[in-house]
Amino acid sequence: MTRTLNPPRPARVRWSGGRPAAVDGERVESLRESWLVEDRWWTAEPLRRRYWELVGERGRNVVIFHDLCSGHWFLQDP
Amino acid sequence: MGITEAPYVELHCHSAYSFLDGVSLPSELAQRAGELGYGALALTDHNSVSGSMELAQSAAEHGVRAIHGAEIDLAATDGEGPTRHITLLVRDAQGWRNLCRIITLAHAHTRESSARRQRGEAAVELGAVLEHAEGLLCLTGCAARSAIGRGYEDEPTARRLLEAFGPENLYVELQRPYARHDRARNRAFVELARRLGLRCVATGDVHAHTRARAELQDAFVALAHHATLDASEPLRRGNHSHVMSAPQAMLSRFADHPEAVRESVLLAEQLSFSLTEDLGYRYPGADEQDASRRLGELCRARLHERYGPGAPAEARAAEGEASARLVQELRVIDRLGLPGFFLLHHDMLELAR
Repeated sequence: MTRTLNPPRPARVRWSGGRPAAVDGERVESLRESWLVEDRWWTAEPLRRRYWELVGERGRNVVIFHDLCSGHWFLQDP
Repeated sequence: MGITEAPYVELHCHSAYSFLDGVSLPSELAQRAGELGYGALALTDHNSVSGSMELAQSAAEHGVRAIHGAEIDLAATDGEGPTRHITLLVRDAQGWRNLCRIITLAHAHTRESSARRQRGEAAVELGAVLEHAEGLLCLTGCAARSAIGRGYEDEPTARRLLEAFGPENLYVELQRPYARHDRARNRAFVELARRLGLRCVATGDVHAHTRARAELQDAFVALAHHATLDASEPLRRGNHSHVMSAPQAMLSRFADHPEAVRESVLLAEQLSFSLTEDLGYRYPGADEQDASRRLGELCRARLHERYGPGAPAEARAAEGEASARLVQELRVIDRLGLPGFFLLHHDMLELAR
């Protein structure tokens, strides 16, 4: 039996001023990094994701990504 | 659009002459740069200027000024680790000569393996680059393999580069390939530049002229490592940010470092070297005062043997025509300043006889 480590979880993201402003209701304090993954284009499940590593107002690091294929937002542990 | 109008000049760009890495021809890059409104474009293939003349000739057709350079692999100090990169750009004819010399040195040891068909990787010692710094501008290299590491662990190399190139000709290179640690690395680079009194310049590390060609770059990475697409995942760029973007888009990409984007334009304005002008190359012997006379005497002696009194009747009949032709050809050789070259060629053939 296989188990996916650190599986992405659906997230609610408020967008403002060209960047994420809140994740699941928690205000974003600062932006640490942002990166882009475009890969596996030769498969039936291509990846196109824009990631952000953020610091929330409660002081925790949060990694979210916007799935550019489906348009949905997800949260992952950093 | 002129060079001063576009807000960014691309100073780090690979063509298909970066074998199994760049995926576009210099002419395709020049055409796309023209379409996107670039005023100038630098070609910086790996240890090579093979695409430079093609860029020089096609860039003018598309209203783009060609800048010449190369990305040079620096040999690891212990001789075993991975090489690191610097980007060299040509300021003047002396710089072009030095860049060609550096590239020659980089390839000089690539065929020393006992297996003759196995070619080593081109790389040059940092010291050799420093000895040939005149006429060149140095950028500290691409994000993944910069000569100054990640900005904090190799300040000594940065200081050696600074000593040889001087603060006017050395720039800390900032790239934003949309990888996870870009922002932290660029912050460290900016801090290093501040400590050393250097300017930062933004570059795009372009490997493709359109998105349609970007997937080929992934395939090239797999081919270069004899791996499948699935297996080469850790080696790939991870996204398609290596496709040439519009100058305005590059301004947005480097929103944290607008001064580094501006610097690309100011830096490009200093680089006026053109490969389409006479580079002043002279063959050995071109300066010898009597080369023309000696070549004339040599040719007339040979003509006498072939067409003179001792030659067959048919040849003797053609002597007038042959003499006239010789006079004409010697005149052309004189005009081009090539008597020394023909004398050298003659000596070599005589030696080989």
